[in-house]
Amino acid sequence: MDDATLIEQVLAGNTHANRFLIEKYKNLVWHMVLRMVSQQEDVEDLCQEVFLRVFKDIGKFRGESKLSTWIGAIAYNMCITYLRKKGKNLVVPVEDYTPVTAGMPSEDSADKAFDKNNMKKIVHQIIESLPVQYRTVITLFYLEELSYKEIEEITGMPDGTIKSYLNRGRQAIREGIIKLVPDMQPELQVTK
Amino acid sequence: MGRENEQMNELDRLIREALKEKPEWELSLTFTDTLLEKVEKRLWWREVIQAFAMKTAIVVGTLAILLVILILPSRDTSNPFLTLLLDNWQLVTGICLLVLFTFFSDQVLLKYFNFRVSYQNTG
Repeated sequence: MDDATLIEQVLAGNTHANRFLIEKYKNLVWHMVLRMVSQQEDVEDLCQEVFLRVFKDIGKFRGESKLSTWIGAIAYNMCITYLRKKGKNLVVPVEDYTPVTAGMPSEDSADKAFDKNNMKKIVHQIIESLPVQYRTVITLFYLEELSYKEIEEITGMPDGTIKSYLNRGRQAIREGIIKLVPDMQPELQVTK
Repeated sequence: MGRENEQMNELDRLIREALKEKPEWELSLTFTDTLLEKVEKRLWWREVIQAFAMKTAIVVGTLAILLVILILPSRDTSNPFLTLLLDNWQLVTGICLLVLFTFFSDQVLLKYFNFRVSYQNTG
């Protein structure tokens, strides 16, 4: 079912269309909320609030962007509002950020082989410790595989800022990994 | 959309793999059902309240027009109808509130209880 038909059906009050919309976009919303809001207990409630807003405002959707980016933008704005209410500082220059590596498994500290899973865990934890904007852009780019334009539509950030966040975030992750696994340095050269 | 032809290197691969790992916890299995129930309830409330507000506005508007027609032509304070209303304003207000409540019960509360019963039976 394409987006236009889906919206038409939702507006007509078709329950199956409502279910279809939730199933189609719940992973996008969940990934965004999960990365932006670290409080696990609030993630599900916030995801529900996002969808309630989507159903409330779907009549206002003009089709100027993809439905996924429109829903993503609602999720992004609601997470930002949530974080502001919680008093989180949303503007942290990555230059001021030091990757949190304490307590993470490191190559020499582990008895067992430093395997792929450990590396994934490390990368994951470094991403989790990044400032929220970087985390969001990285998630949308790598996990949802969205283009810069789509990320721009969701976050409202200019193209240059997105690229900058992405590069600085990547750099921070790289530094975090090298700090824990110095052997990885030659493999982690940034190429474009 | 293209990915700006960006070449994926080892770091990109690591980030992508780490993010694609299944998280420790997921949305509950009842997420969609719970959400659908909330959505349907909200839509239902909105429709019922809108209908009630519209019907009330029509009734109140009609009554207001009738009153204006009856009272305005004779601005005489000795208008018997106006005097009757003003003398018994507490009773008139009480009757109006009672009618409004009965209307609300019929149009909203009864419908809500029926909706709940039918939802529980089907759900």
